[in-house]
Formats: sequence, structure tokens, C-alpha cells
Amino acid sequence: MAETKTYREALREGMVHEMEQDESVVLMGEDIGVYGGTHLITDGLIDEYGPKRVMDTPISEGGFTGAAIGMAIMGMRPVVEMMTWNFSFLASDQIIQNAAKIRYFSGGQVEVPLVIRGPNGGGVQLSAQHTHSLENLYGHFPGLKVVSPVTPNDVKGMMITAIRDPNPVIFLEAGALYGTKGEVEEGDNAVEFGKARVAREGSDVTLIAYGRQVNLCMRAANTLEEEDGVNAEVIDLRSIRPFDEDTLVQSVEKTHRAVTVQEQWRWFGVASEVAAIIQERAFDSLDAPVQRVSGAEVPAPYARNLELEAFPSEKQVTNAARRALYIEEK
Amino acid sequence: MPEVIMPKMGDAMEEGTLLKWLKSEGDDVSEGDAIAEIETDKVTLELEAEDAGTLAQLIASEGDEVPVGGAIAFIAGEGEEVPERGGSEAAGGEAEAEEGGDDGGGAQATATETEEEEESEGGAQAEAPSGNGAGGNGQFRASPIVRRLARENELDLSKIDGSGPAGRIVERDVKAAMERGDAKADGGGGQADGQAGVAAPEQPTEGQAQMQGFQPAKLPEPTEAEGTQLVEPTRMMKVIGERMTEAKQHVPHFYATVEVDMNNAMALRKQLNAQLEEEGIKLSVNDFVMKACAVALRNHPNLNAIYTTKGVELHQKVDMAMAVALDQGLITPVIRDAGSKGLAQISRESKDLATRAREGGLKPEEYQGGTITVSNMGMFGIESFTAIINPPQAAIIAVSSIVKRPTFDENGEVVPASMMKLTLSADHRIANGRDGAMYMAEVQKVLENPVMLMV
Repeated sequence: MAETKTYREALREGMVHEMEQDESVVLMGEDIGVYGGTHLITDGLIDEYGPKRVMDTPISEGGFTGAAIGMAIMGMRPVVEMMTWNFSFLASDQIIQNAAKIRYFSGGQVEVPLVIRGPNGGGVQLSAQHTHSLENLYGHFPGLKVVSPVTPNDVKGMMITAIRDPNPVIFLEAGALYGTKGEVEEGDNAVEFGKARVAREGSDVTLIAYGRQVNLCMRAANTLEEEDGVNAEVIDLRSIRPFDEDTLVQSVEKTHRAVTVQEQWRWFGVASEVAAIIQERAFDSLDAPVQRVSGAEVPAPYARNLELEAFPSEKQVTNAARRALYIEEK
Repeated sequence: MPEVIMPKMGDAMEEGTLLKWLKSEGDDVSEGDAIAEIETDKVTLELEAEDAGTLAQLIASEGDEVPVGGAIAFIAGEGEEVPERGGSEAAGGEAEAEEGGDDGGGAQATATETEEEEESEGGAQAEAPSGNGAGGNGQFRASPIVRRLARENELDLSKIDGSGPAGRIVERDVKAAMERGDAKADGGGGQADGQAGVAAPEQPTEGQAQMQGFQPAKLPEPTEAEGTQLVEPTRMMKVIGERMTEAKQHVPHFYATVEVDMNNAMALRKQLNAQLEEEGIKLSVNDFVMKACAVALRNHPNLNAIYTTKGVELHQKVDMAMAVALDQGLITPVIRDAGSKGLAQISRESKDLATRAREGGLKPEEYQGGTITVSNMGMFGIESFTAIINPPQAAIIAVSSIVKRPTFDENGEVVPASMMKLTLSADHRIANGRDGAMYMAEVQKVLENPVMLMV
């Protein structure tokens, strides 16, 4: 059974599903309780579960993240909301130095079953300080798991998996897509980490993305089909760490061309990692260099016209695919 | 700043050896100054500067083998500095890149011609040549999948034009070529560059070589025993070896021998030489043989032919290659249109070509493009021998010594005669035994009735 729900509803449903199963699952964050959450993700949950399981915290990311790590060490399963991932810089010492390393330091004796979640990336005119895509930053550190679901079904299923995971999970939501709708499976639809999703099957070129850029790639794939007769495959990585190399490699072995798309800046980004993996493992299948499409090398602009220029566009993606196919750009 | 590059002195040339620097680093050079001695598979020549300036950097060392198009030195103009190496090397090759399978004519970047295009630094390389991504060094720009497909399907990338940037061969080019079926790598029968002389065959791929037994099974290590000496084959000998192996393995030879009574030809020769003495001309027996072979081809055009990718190309004009032995190998300069030249002209040209061949002074166009070859070992007292066809030509004629011995005349009387054996080797893909036999019979008839040489 599947029902059409918004990304926001699906995300809430994932958390509720686990709160129902496991009393140690608690929610923490700024304004998530009485106010219902800045993005209304947790709306109504304080009425259902009370202030002990849906905790409003002070504006103190380092403090409440550290507290959540301690709670996780002691056996709770906290789900911490970053109002936006931009604020996690204040908590990054706790996340990187403690959450990511305690299991390692303790020789596996101590686990940190913590989820930190919140909207990642831009696209809604929040300007430079409130617009970052941090998947490569957190994906860099061993000890953290990083996921970036784009469909309502995945955001629910991956939240369920994240809460059950005994390790800290960086849960990067597509903030601009909270209102988008999609079919969501009822009940337990846990989505395994480290498995990419083939969002669209194709034979001529592989478009690789995660988060909201997947939707961009789907649009680009349709354009390529209509305008160029090109049958593009779209891969939604959805799990940044662990990373599904095999799905990627199999696709490129089929299509011989790849375009990798990210909203974040070009340098040292996930797209570069994708390109590196492809050339390492599918070199003999390549007909063209792997093309990267990334955000412009500027702090995110506020003005709508500039913001649109600063993020990957459908045209950039289709033209990158055309370059890989050696056909004329449009 | 101009780069001095290894010139391409022939279609098959892939690299050359820098024998000796004639100038030192820091020397001022003028356009046309000889700066180094280069050895190719055919000749040794002086490389001339194409630009004036200071010889800022010697990149190659004496004895180095440098791929065609590879940088040998830099000549700096006033105030210029030596650029960083790296990109420029590939670029040098790229500027030299040309279509594979081009015929001899356009391919030669001669060392002596100073009017060759000047290479502007860097910029020249942006202009990608049309056609495939071949660099002058036999390398091709091709995507990884193309290289894999070529390996798996035994394709010869030199036969595929690249449609990607800078002539890169991309998957669609290979797919199209596979559909057309014209890119199959073959041992060389398909090589249609109209080039004679001992030019190197296209290198077979490794897989192909194994499949076709191209490599000798297993070579022994040198014994290094006392009384042995290890000699590395010269570049020319390597090329001859490769090319002759190629010919013997891939061209189905058949042979036809005639014995010619040379009494009349010898008498005519004596008579002519007496009259031509004042002009300083002395006709050789070989001049008569070459002329006779050329004349006889008029009625046997299928032995004056080139085996090409698309079929057998019959030539009206006889461009007769003659084998000239050198200390370090062998070369086959060509007498153009030998069929319509007189004996005296053939004699003059053959002497000139042979002399300059021994001096290493032939230009590529003088030893490329023959349509048939004559190889004469008569001067060594050889009773008979067979020669290996010089691909892509259809035939070669082996000329042996004149031997005086008793023969029977029409009346059954024993008479002395000067007899000479001629052996044809012909490509059975082009001609059959009857064609060869009839041709050799005609050569015999012409030489025995040498007045035929006049018509």
C-alpha cells in the first residue's frame, strides 16, 4: 500500500514510526515542540508524546548536540534537529570530535546511535550564511554516516534506518522540497544505506546526483530525450557514506558516459569523488571524460535571479551530457 | 618559441635517431644552419634550423631515439625563454599529426626545406588536423572504450576518422566503422599508401601478432660464449626485417623462371657502348633488363600493380624500383616511367640513384612509390635466386649472372651462348601462374630480340 504524501509528512512519519516502536527515541531541537518546528516537521508531536520525548532546546547547537551524544552513549536514540545545517558549524566539534570517534576510541564498546537532521542546501533565498551543502564536509569523516534522500518514500525509509543505526547519522534533508509530494509506502519501509537508486533507466549517458539535484537530472533526462533522442539514466546516490560504487560502475559500463551533478561548489565535492570512482573502476568503458556540474564559486546570493545562476541548471546538465555524447550543445 | 622536432621523412617513419649534435646549447643559429645529424630508417641527414635564434635547449641527447614530432631542441628568439616542458611535447606531435594512410607525397616534413610551416609556440597545436587523431608518432587519440573495442574486435584505429575534439576517435566512430566493416586490422595487404622502398609495415596489435604467428615462437637468449659477438641490428635492418617478414607471411608468392640467351643483347650493348663512349655513357646489362621488364609490362598490366584496401590498382606507368645494396642494408630507388625512357636515360638515372643511395643522399620521394622491382645479383656470379615481393607491389624480378655455356641451336648444333636466369616472384592475389609465365616469356623474347627495346 502506498499513499501520496509530502516530503515533510513522510519525514515525520518515519520518526513517529520509530518513536512508536522504541521509547528511547526522543526528538530535540530549537522550537520543535511548542512551536511545531520552524519547518513544521515536528508539528503536533509534542501533544502526542509530551515534552520528555519532544524537547525544545536553547539556541545552543554545541550544547544540545553534545547533550544528545551523551544521551546516545547512555542508550537513548536522540534525533536532533538542526534548524538548518548551517548552524551545525557551531556543533561541528561535538559531531566530528566526539560523535564520529567515540566508538573508535572505545574499541567498539561504546556506540553513538544519534541522528542529526535538518534542511541542507539552498534554493529558497536564504542567502550566503544560510545556504550550504555540507555532504562532502561530513562525508569526509570516517565514523559518520551521511545520507541525502530526495523522494518522500526515501526520506521516511532512510529516517527509519537512521534511527535504528547504532552510529551517528548525518541526515541531510532537501530543504527546498519539504512540500513536494510522492508515494510513500505504509509501515516499515526501511531503506538500506549504501544502496543507490536508479531513478530512471537509460542507455546513453548516466546522470548522477543526490538530494534535490536528482529532480534536476530527471528534468534534464526528459529534455535530452525530447530534443536529442538521448536516453539518459539517472542515479540517485541518496547515501553519501556508505557509498554505492557498484550501481554507479554498472551504469557507466552500460552507458559509457557520465555526468555528475552537485549543488555544492565544484572543488573537493561529492561529484569529484564520483568522477574519481568512475575512472578508477570503469575506465575502459568510458567514451568521454566524466563531466561535472556544480554550483558557482561564490557564496550563495540572495537575489533570486543570481541564486538561480549560482545553482546547477537544467541547461548545464543537458549540455554536459551533450559534451559527453559529442553532440552539439544548445 | 620554435621547437625543433624530429621530422617525418617518410610515411612509415615513426622515430629517428639523433646521431650527433652539430651545434651546442647556447649557440646562435641562422635559418638553414645544420644543427644535428639525424638517422632515419632510410637515410642519414642533417637537420636544419627553421628559425634563427639561440639554440636555447638541447632536449634530445646523442643516440636518443625520438618519435616523429617529438621535440629535439628549442630555438629561442631574442628575449624568449625556454618554455616549461610538458604540454608542448604532446603538442609537437599533434602539430605533425596527419591523416593515416596519406600517400608519400604530402607526408614528408623535410629537414632541408626551410619553407615548411613555422610552428608558433603553443598556438599551432590548437588547430587540430582533420581526420583521425593520429599523432605523427603513430599514436591515436581515442577514448578508453574505443581502445577496448579495438582490442576486442581487432580494429586498426588508423583506419578510423575521429569525430571528437582534436580528432579523438569516439565510440560512435568505431560503431560506424564496424558496421561498414572497413576498420579490421590486417597484416598489411590492405596498406595502400602507394609507397615502395623498405618502409615499415603498420605495427600489428599484440593479439594479432600472436594469432598470426607474427612473432617468432621464442627467441633464445644470447649464449655470450667465447668467439661470439652481439650485434644490434641497425634501424634499417629492423625495418627491412619487419617488412620482409610481413611480405613473406602475408603475400602468397609464386615463382616463374626463364633462361634468356643474352648473345644478341650483349652484342647490341657492345655496339651501343662503342658509339656512346664519347658521351660518357656505358650501358649495363641491368639497364637492358630493366628496360625489357618495363617494355614487356605493356601487355601484362596486372603485374604492374598495387594491392590496395579497395582492390588491385593497375598502373599504366612503370615506376621501376631497383634494389641497391648498402653496407647497412638495402634501398630501392625508383626510376619513374621507365617504360617510356630510353636505355641511355635509364642508365644515367640508375647510376645516379645508386650512387646517391650509397651516400645516403636520397630524398624520400626518390625511393617511394614504385610499381615493380628489379633485383640484380648478376655481378656476384649467382646462378639463380628468388626475391621477396616489395609490398604493396605485385611483382619483383630477380636477375642472376650471365653464364657462358654450350647450347643447341635450331639445327641441333652445339653453340656457345651467354645465358641468364630471370626469376619472377608474383603476388598470387593479383596474378595467376599463367600471367606470370606469359610475362616472363615476353621479357625473354624482348631480351633475345633486343631491337624490341627500341619500340
